[in-house]
Amino acid sequence: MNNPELHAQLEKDYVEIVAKVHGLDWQALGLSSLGVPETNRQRAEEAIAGMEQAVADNQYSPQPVMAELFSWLKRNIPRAERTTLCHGDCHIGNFLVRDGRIIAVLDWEAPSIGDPMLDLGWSCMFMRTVYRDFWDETKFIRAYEELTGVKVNKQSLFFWEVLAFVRLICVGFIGIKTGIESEDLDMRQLGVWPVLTPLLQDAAARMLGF
Amino acid sequence: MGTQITTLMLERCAQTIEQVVIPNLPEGFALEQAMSIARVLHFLAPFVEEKCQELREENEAMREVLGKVLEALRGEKALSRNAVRKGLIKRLDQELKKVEVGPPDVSEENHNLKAALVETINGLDALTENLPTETMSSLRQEIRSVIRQQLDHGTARAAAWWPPPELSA
Repeated sequence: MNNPELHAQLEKDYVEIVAKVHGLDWQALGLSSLGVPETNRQRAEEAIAGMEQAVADNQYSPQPVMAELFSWLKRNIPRAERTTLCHGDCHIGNFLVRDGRIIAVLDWEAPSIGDPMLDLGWSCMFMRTVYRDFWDETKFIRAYEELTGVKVNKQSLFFWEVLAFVRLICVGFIGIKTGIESEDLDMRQLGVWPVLTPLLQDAAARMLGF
Repeated sequence: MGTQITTLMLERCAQTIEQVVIPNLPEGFALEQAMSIARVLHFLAPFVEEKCQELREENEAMREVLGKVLEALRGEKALSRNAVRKGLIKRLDQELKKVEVGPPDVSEENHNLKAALVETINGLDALTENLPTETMSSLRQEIRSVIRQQLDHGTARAAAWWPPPELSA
């Protein structure tokens, strides 16, 4: 990331690939088998319900912070303006780089047909946090808009970014419980998530103004 | 044992792992584990002493806001037949009227009040269409202030430990 030319090329590759994934004709590719949402809120509703269950299954005490975050999400679900193939775990850490170019996209365990804002929100959340050195999320969105010709609805993007934070927080809950209860004595999850989870909760709350 | 001794002991454990155990471990899984353990012990050490006071503060704030919600709900006579309202009033009344038998258990009280707060947040969501906008907005703001206090308690220690030393090197 210290090489400006290389960095610029990776930014270009990244946004081009994300735009390409969203531009694929998923029906012609036979990807309807992933499940096609019946309403334009369905994917968001499913995501929220899944995360609520994850917290319920993995918490050790009641979580008012999470209740408030879920409350906001449920009250602010946007209408999906497009239905595309979504990667589901879209961030630079899942893109393989060789000789200064992205050559592959990894970790396709969570693909879906739905609102591409899922990928944009997740990407932006990672650009605000773990991959701050990679790209500024505003520039990424502008580049995406220029490439796709689609104006990104900023309210919708905001919702999906908040959801992305909450989703990563849920990973934290699972990580903590796994670290405490799994049979193999591995402390690595407990060395990270008990510290990172409150910071992510704080970041999500501040996005919502409290 | 007083909390201060517990804090000192945990710090000592972390130092011993860092200065005695880690330098003598080869690279690999065992070394990673030892580093994680030292990090967790450092993180927990101040926790014990501070936590009691924090819990008391949180409990006081939660009691206050739940009391305000209870008062607001009782005031909404037009909703006297609303099942969600009735259920929430009963729940909050029970929680706030609880009488401690024996020495107070701050931690258990915190757990119970948080459970009541979660039910309140969900209950208010169900009453969104029924309660006046101003009342709902005011109650949500009060609840958020209480949650902000809990977040500040949680992040105060976490921020001092992120990123962990080996990740920031």
